[in-house]
Amino acid sequence: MVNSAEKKLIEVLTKVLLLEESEISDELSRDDVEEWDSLAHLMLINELEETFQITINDDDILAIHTIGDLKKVLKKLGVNI
Amino acid sequence: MFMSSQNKGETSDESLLNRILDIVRKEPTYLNYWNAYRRIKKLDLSRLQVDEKKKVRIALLSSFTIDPLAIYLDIESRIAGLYPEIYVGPFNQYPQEILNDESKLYRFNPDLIIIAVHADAILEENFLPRFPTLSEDDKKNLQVEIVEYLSGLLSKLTSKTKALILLNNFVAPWFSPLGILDNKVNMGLREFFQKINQKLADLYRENKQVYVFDIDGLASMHGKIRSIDYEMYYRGAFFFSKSFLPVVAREYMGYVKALKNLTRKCIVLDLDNVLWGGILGEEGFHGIKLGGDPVGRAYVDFQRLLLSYYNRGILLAINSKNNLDEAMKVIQEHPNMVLREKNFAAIRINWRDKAENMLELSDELGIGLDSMVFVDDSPQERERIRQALPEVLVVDLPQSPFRYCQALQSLNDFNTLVLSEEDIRRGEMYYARRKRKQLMKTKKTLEEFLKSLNMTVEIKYANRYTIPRITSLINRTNQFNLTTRRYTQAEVEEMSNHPDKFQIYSLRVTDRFGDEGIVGVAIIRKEREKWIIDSFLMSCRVIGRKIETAFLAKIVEDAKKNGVLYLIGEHIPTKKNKPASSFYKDHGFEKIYEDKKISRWRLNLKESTIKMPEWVKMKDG
Repeated sequence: MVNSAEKKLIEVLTKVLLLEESEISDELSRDDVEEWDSLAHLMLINELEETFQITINDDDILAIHTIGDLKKVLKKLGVNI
Repeated sequence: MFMSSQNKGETSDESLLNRILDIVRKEPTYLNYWNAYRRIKKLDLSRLQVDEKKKVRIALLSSFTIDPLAIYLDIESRIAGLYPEIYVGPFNQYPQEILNDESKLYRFNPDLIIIAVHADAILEENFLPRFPTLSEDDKKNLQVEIVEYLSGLLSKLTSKTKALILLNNFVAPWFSPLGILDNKVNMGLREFFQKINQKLADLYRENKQVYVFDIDGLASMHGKIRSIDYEMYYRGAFFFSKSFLPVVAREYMGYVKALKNLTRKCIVLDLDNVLWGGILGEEGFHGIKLGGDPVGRAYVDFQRLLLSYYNRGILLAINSKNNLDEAMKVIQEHPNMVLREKNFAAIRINWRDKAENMLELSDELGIGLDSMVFVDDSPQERERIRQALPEVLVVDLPQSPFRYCQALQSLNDFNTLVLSEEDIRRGEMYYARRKRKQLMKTKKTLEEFLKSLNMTVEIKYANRYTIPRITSLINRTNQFNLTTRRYTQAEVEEMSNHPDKFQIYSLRVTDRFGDEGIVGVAIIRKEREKWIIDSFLMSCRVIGRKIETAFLAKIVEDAKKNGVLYLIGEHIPTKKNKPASSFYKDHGFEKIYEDKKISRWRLNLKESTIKMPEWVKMKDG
């Protein structure tokens, strides 16, 4: 089962990075996704901050390299995924 | 929108494009704009055959990250039916892009250039801390420096490109270190920027290429604090917040639409619950809400707003289900009506289908459905027009009349890049035309009708006040145009500066119903013994009144005075200028030459002349 927070995360990921839902995995990294450039990275962060009403630490923003990294940060901030 | 195509691939690209845009239309979030922009970028649209007129090339030069604006402009242009290409200059390299003759900017060959430079990029970094210590002279010198810096860049830019240029002004800060004393010192921080903005506006007021974009006013409207998002500013040098972006893009689109002639010219209005509150047929003359109570006052204000549009040249028309006599009585006699019969270019008050009425209005006014806006409180009527006539812009009128004004004010579809005297008086002219038609019905013969008009014709040589209008007629007139030769304003000026070789006439008509303005142009090329009529044209709204005969008679008169022997008329047939085809023949010219492209006609001035029609009074210019 996918909960509503996960649904939202998937929507943001697919729309910002032009991915199919089936392509999304924890291992998927910035090197694999052509669309994941620096503008897209900031867009991703900004959308997630707004969607989940959180503020992501700027060191974390730089350290996020894979979808798994991103999820870890979100979990740390109490997002239920 | 698309040219016909045999290639199947085109249709699928086209429908894919539309599917992507539909998502944005339904849910216009930044996330969806982002997604649509990036997906469209990946499509190969080069196979689409696109009308040149629908293409637009926009360049963005900025001192900050302006990519998000490119997203909005791209998608908004597509929603408006255009095919944009957008160039985003490298981050904060706008001076290099402008100064380097070989820059990507110039190679991109834009139609529109947006220059968005933040004050921080020009002022030294300690400007704010030092500001309270600066003398008035220091501040004035700084202002001059900033204005000269920008105008220097712009004169280079205007010498290199014909593109329309939008220069952002500066957002005057809402904060001042001087606090409540900001406008008590010789020049406060806010005034410092407001005065720069004023200087920029003054500098480019008369400029035909550069428009100062009032980002300060726009930020005030949106709320200056909300117009910037500091997270995104510090992380990525973004200046426009997510909520401000669509506001900025919408304002820019006003210019894009004006540039691409996507301009709406006529507002078609329902009556009940649009111009007044309540249903006239039920509440009666004294029962409708207009003035007086809060709701009635909102309707009066809405009419005042419409009148302001009318006074800048937007036509107003009525499309209403009502009894004609009852409705006209309100329009003519209700003490609180702001708009009166003379403000409406055309009226359809009946019980017929509103889509049919729209078609008739478009026909009567001679303007396309794509120039019309429809305002109606009934969602059913709005849907009917949307379905039947998708070219018409249907306003989503809010439920409450208190919000009517705002709904109309937020449209960016009435813009033109220039406004002529003729544009401003357009509504008046259409009313006069309607009255003329009514008069014609009461007269037995055309001659009797023309006599009763009391026409006065004023024929003058072109001068610097009339040349813009003359140029616009030269380039817009298709039907009664003998040669359809197009000339730029510079070319017209050049000819007018050589009266030994050329004579340019303008013709202005006034009659008992009003002033039509300049409606005719003739260009004479002078040779030793003959005058050649290089161009002869009349606006279609005065055709049928024999004014062209009066115009020709005046040219003959002048030619004779100058001892000219022959007047030569030229006729170049086109698909559209049939109405002019027998002009020279009808006026006694003999054909002396004809090939596939052109025919020449001669009038021997020793033997013949052209009589001034007796119903036209000449006024010497």
